[in-house]
Amino acid sequence: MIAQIKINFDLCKDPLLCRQCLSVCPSVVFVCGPTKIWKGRETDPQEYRIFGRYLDKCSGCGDCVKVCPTGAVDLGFLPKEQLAQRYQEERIAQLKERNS
Amino acid sequence: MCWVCEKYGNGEKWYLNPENYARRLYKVRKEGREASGADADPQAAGMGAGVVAELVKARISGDLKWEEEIKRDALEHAYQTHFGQVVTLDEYLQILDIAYPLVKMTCGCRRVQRGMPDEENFTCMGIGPGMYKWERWPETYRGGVEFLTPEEAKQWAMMNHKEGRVQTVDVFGTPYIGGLCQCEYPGCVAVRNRLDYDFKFLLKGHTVAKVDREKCTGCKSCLGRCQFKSLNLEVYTNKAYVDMDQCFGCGLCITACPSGAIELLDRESLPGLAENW
Amino acid sequence: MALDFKVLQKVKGNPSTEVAADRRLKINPGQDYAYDMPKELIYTINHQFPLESLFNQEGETNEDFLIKQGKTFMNLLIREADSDAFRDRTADMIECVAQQTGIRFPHVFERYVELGILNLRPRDAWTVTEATTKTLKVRNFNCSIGKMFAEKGLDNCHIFCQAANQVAAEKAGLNLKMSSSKGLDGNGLCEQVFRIPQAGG
Repeated sequence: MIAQIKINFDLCKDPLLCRQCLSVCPSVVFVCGPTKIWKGRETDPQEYRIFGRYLDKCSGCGDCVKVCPTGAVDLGFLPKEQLAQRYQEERIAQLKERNS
Repeated sequence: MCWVCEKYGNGEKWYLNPENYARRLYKVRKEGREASGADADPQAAGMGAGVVAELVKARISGDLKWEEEIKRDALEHAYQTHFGQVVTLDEYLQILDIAYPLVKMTCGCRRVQRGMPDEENFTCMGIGPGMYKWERWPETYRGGVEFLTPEEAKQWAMMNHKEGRVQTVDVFGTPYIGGLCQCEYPGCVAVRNRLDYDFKFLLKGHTVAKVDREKCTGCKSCLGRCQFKSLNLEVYTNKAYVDMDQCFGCGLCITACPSGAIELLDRESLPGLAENW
Repeated sequence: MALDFKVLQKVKGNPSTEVAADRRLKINPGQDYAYDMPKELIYTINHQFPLESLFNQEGETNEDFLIKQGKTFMNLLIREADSDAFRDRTADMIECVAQQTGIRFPHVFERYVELGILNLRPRDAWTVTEATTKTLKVRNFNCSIGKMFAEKGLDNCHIFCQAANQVAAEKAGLNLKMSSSKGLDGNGLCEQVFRIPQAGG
């Protein structure tokens, strides 16, 4: 099974300062990046967004869900075969577009 | 010599060539104002990480050709613009005499992967004349900067080595070296992507560690120093074991050994590893 | 390895801690600085010191004349470049760093050398090939001044540059060894080298 991580950004409001999921994850699956780059000042921590990046490394332990103070992390799983098929189809479409 | 040395080394190691750290301070100002509040892709955060989401998809799909294509295209671009290589502490200290200015800054990788607070995260170094304009990129230099003298920078570099960080040079517009990183697995995006996805954004160094099995006492002091999953204890003989094929040549295990039982060899002196970057 | 187990045992400290009190610089929110050189500086300098000033009315150049013109040019450049109208944030940061570290070479000096090139011959190709706290090397390709001199059968243009750079070194508070080498095979290459004199050497 491969993890599918969805973050509810309406609930996850201050990801960089909260950093609970980033800090607890035993597999460093998450990444937290800025959505804006400003001239003359640093990005507000609230303008950061968290995503699941290394989904193939997620063990599914669920610590991120437990630790989230706002209940913003939704951790689901899909069979690897199903996901593989989806990505293979994406790849075929990508190649088709490239050759057209 | 690695391919970067052949192209940019001027007869020596490319990262010991002062030319690769020098750059003009000034150019003529362009008309127009710089953009403010530009959108950024939060998923691309971290060094060389723009392609990782694609790489993960390809890996899950099991399509090896796809994965190879992603890496080939990304590396072709990276080697012209932005990539890194492991160096030893000795080389690092030499670099601190040929690059200037030397500026402590926060590590972007550990910020985006672990959310490290800025004040605990001054483990990166920006170098060269571009650093005088650091205020142009407030987010890159989040938490501020500290300009150091070469002597202060050397002390700081040794603290980082002692704490167990791998030291690397980082290119910003090949062959200009604009950063010196203190990396680790998995907090460093470059180390992580190299180990987990064999994405050669980070090159191995010019040295390789080798254990002297007679001198090794099995004290285990070196265990835990390797950030490349290349060092463990051979339990049945009670000796340290370095996987030389997987070793990046950083030398962290060597400075932890009280018996001088690990030596650092020239990669090119080892026919089996000479091409293994 | 110069560094071994014993050396590392003596190393103490947390790298994230400030290296010395008040050394950490923070962003000034809302700032809107200019970092590059404004074109207007070129116009201002060129108006007061056109390239033709390198030759006297008879179109000739003796050593004393070139030294005088070199000094005049650099004094003018420094006065304008450091004036309220033209001083930029790069200059401020270079000076701030020099104050913090006590290291004024190469960049306090290099700034004047670079602005000198950009103002006197803005279209020329040139590059910095070494910039350490001990040595600065500037490489010029097909220098406009060199060409002007060559057209008149002269090859003493380095006297002008050295006189100008000497003023820059004095302004930066530095005692420097200077040399320049023009390509002998007529390839238009001229490399200027500036060094901090080594103790005892």
